[in-house]
Amino acid sequence: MNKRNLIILCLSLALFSCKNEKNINNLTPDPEKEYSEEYYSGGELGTVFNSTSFAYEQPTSAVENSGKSFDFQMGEYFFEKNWNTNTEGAFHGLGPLAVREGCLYCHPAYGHGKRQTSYDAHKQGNGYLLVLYETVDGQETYLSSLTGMPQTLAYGPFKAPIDESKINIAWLNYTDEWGNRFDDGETYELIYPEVTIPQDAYYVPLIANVNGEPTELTVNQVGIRLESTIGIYGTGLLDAIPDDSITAQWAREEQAYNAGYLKHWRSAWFTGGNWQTYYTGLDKQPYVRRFTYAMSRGPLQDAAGANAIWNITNVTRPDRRYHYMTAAYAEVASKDPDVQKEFPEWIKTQLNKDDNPECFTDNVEQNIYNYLMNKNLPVEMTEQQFVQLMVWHRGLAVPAARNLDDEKVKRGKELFTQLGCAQCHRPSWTTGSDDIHDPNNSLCDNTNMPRYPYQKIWPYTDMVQHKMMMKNDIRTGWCRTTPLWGRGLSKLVTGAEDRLHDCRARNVIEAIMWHGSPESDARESIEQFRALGKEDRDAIVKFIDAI
Amino acid sequence: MKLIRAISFSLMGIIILLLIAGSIVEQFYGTAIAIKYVYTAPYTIALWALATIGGITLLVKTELKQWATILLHFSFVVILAGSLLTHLFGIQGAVELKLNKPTNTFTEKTNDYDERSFPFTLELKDFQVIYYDGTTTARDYRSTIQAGDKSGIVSMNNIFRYKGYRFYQSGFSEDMSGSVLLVSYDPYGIAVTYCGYALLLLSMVIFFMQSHTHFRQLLKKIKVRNGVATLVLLLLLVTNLNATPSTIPQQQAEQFGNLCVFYNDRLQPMSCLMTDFTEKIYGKTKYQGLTAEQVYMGWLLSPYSWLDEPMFKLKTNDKKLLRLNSRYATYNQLFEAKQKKMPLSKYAEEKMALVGMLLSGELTKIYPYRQATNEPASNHIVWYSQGSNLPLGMADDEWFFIKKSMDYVGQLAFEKDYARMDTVIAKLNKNQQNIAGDMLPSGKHFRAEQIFRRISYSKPLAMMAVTIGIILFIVYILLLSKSKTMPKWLYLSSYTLMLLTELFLTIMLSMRWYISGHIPMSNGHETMQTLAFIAFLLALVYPLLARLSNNHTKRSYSEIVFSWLIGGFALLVSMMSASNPQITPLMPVLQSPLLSIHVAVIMLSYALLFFIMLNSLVALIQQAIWHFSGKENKHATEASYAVSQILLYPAVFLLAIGIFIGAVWANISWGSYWQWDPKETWALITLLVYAGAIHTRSIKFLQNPTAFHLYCVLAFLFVLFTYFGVNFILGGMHSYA
Repeated sequence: MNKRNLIILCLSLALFSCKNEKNINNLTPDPEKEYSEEYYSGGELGTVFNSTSFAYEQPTSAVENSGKSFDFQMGEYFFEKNWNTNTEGAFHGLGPLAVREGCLYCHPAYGHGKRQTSYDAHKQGNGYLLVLYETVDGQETYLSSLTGMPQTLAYGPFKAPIDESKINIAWLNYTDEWGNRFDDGETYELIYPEVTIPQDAYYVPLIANVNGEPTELTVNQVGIRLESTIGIYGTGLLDAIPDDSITAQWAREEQAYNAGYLKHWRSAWFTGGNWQTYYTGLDKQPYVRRFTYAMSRGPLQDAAGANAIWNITNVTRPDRRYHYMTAAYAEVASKDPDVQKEFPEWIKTQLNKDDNPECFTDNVEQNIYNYLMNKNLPVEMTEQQFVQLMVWHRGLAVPAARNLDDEKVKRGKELFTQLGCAQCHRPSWTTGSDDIHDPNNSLCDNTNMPRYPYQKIWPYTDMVQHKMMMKNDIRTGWCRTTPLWGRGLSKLVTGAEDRLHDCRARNVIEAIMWHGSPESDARESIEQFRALGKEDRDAIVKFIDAI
Repeated sequence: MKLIRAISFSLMGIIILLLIAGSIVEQFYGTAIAIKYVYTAPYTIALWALATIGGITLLVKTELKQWATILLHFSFVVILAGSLLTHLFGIQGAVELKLNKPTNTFTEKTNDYDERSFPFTLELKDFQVIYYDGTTTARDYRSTIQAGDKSGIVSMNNIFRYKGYRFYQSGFSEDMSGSVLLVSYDPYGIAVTYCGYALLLLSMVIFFMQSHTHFRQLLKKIKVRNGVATLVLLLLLVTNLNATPSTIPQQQAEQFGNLCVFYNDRLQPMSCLMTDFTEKIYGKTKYQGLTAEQVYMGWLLSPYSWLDEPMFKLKTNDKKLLRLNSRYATYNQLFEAKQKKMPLSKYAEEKMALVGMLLSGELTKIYPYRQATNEPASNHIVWYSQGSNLPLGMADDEWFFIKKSMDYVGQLAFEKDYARMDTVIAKLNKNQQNIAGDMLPSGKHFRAEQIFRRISYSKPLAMMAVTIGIILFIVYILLLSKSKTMPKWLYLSSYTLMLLTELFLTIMLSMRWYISGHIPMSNGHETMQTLAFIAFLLALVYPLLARLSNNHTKRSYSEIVFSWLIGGFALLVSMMSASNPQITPLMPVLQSPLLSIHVAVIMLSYALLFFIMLNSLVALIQQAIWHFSGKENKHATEASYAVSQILLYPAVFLLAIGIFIGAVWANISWGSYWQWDPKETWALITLLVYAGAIHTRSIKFLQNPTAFHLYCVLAFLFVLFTYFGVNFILGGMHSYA
């Protein structure tokens, strides 16, 4: 624990601002007193002692220390407000297609999305993204005619690639091999979603690469899954974990796999203690994978939020002066007589003829295609605004753990380790020097971002992908172990505690029991969990709610 | 003549039986069936009509030509006529409106759910759900509708009227795509019925002012005029008036209580908000030895440790719903019930919402911020909470202070570093002084409010007054039946005690006045305290007045007895409304001042009926004793008979007024002045039963004191059933009362 550093920091702050009544951090924690360091889930720089309904929305001390509070406020503003289709003014640039009109729809109170029974892009709390892929050759490749995060909103003359009103989400009951029942008689319910979209809901043909060839698919050859948002807080801290710590964790788990403790291993990515594939951005540097369920991203500055602000809303920025769009869509839209009819008038309200003459030729079909696939669109979000968003993104604190001194919670923690849960839900990490990497646009660096060097943090994830082999599992079945920190507050913060990638678990017990299928990496732990008495099972739940 | 009399009163008896039958039918087959086949069935209407005709005939033929009495009875004819008009021409129904889909039909609320049509089209232009600040609990639904050429808003406390139709916000479509409105159309009935109520009130006032009424004769009979005159005056006044959860130590909690908070649209000591919060949820201002300040700070800083505390006081229905043995539920139990979409009462929902508001930070607005505007100085300051959306452009240190100081307190609470916490509280205080110093209430004002709020005097005071009142009353009745008056020592001691009580009340009320800056009559709680103040004052100044008027008749000191009683009951009602302080703007229906009056008047009436019962019981016991001892005190028998009869008049009048105030309130709130709710029906039954007791001249057997006393004792069973039994056995919309 870096108490000494903190004391020095605080003392200097105190000297710096002793005249200012408003500075509250000019007090040093009492070095005499000792607390479990685990209370500080996000380390001393990244933890907030707050259990209110905005517990996930608080800035870290690092924001204050780096003097970035104005940028944080501005970033928060971008996150919280809706975007609109204007071509100027605040929050302009929504569309022509979009997944949502703003960020909060998917991140209720900055937390995990809530379980939905229908897909409505305008519903607050609907954190679902549709995942569509081919089911022909076993590769589960995303459809190429739709964007990776399929859009259901369209503006101007355009039509949505998928008509969301026709999306059907059915929740089906699942009975596990134990009849959803513990030996002492306590029961639980398991449900999972089955999503169907009829042919007539699609505006574009269904095309995917099958065995390397672009192939048109029937509706029945398309797999559909839901992926919900998770909380945003603490991502800056996860970004500060050094690459080699994550590599070491993968290496350890590969050995565990070789020794038979794990049933599945992502050997295509990691074999013999070495990465076979990295995440690379425009800077061509190899980065260790760390963000999204699919672990498709490396450093935070080119991961979840940095991309979402562009591809959810289709708001262009200096390094992305193009739309989140597929050629297949552009082709269909450009040939659509309805679009052709309205486009010539509409485009005049959007672009300047001198800047984008390619959208103003005599060929309307060509104009539409050129507009949608344009790489030279006006900038809608400035560099500075993007940096501010990233200050906010990196600056969100993790709520402190609660109740850890409670006897039952202590018992829960003991069991959590004993049962092997902590193998994948790795309790703690220590961050490195936290040098900022921005693979795509080198806008973010050590000077303009809040940083978290050398913090002991408690996210409860191993930053590795595993398989739980659930009914209607996530696409490919591979899923990064989700951080558990702060989730216990969800009930108070968002009014719901839905868990797992598609929110199928409505409480902790359901989430635990979904880990238990015969081929799951967590099978043994669940068998042991089932062998516990109710008192002990509840203790584990209480512990998970406390961290 | 005799025959008509016998028939008319028998008819009333049959009507009472029918009403009882109706409430039983309702219990088993539902309100709609009970209304259709009993309450408004043709035979019931015929019975009412016959009884009315009989009554009119009797009144015309009677030798008693007192026009107050005639007017009083005539007003009942008008009320009944109004009801008939409502029954014949009034329509109650519901309409479900979808956004921008005009309609001109609605469903009538009868047994068969008939389709009806408006003589105009109705269209929903906009529909909004309004939430409690910072929560997702709906507080109000607001529909913007267009009816014919008129557009307007319907919400929980806004009725929309068009062409005789009234629209009330009732709910919304399951999928939030539209709004459900209650439709009420009653073009003639309401006006006529209200005229009846007005006439009734008028005739009651005249009745008490007239000489030669039976009431006056009774008064003369037992020479208790002085006292009863006071009583009548007071009654008239009444009708006119309106594992230990984690937290911080008491010392630090108290310091937080000493901060200022912007709450209920004004600056107040935090401790007031904290007391309101705890009282609203738990019903008391302390929880397991923790002060209200500690409870509040505990919920604010470590809510998770409070989620399993059984401290949410429930109404009977919620208790049944949750299948609890205790009256107190935990937050988690309520949360689970809400997840399962159980129909929790508004009371439970309000408590949940209150916690939601606390957790969202909306409740704790303790950060003043001086805006740069050109407006007058008082508008420069805005009060923010930690969870507020802060304006852009706030200075960094200020922004951080608002955003983080409570988090730091949270950290110190966890570290149990209270010395440092004191420093932070001092900073919070200094911040308030620095920015809003000129706006903050003065030190004296502030302390006054805090002390005032901390003294929870309502309950002990009410209990004391009611107890003294009841004891004095029993003594008084016993003495009266022996033709004795109260001994001087008893009078003097109760007078002195009343004087002290009055002094205390005076201080409390003036403090309240000083703090709030308006006469303490703005809500039910204050009004009832003021009423108690007046009741005591009258009894206290009465001897002076009596001396001035050189009244040398032997004094019975009855005014002191009745003042204790009335004051006590007023304090009791004020206590009841105090346990539900108004923090959230929920249930506009229950916030109307009419409600407080309705409750107070009915309570007073029940209280008087209770004394009548006691008086009669005592008389019956005395008679039994005399019967066995062979002695008889004719004067005593007559006196107690007269006392019961005297009290019957104000009791029955108050009951009638109370019921009709309730009807007016229901009409405003629910679009219908009479809904055959079990409690309504039983209040009516009680009224009719006691009205029988007043008609001693017409109902011969009641002229026998023994029979009369027996009747009064048995009749009180109806009061008991109305007050307690209905809630437990029959339910209905009064289940909270």
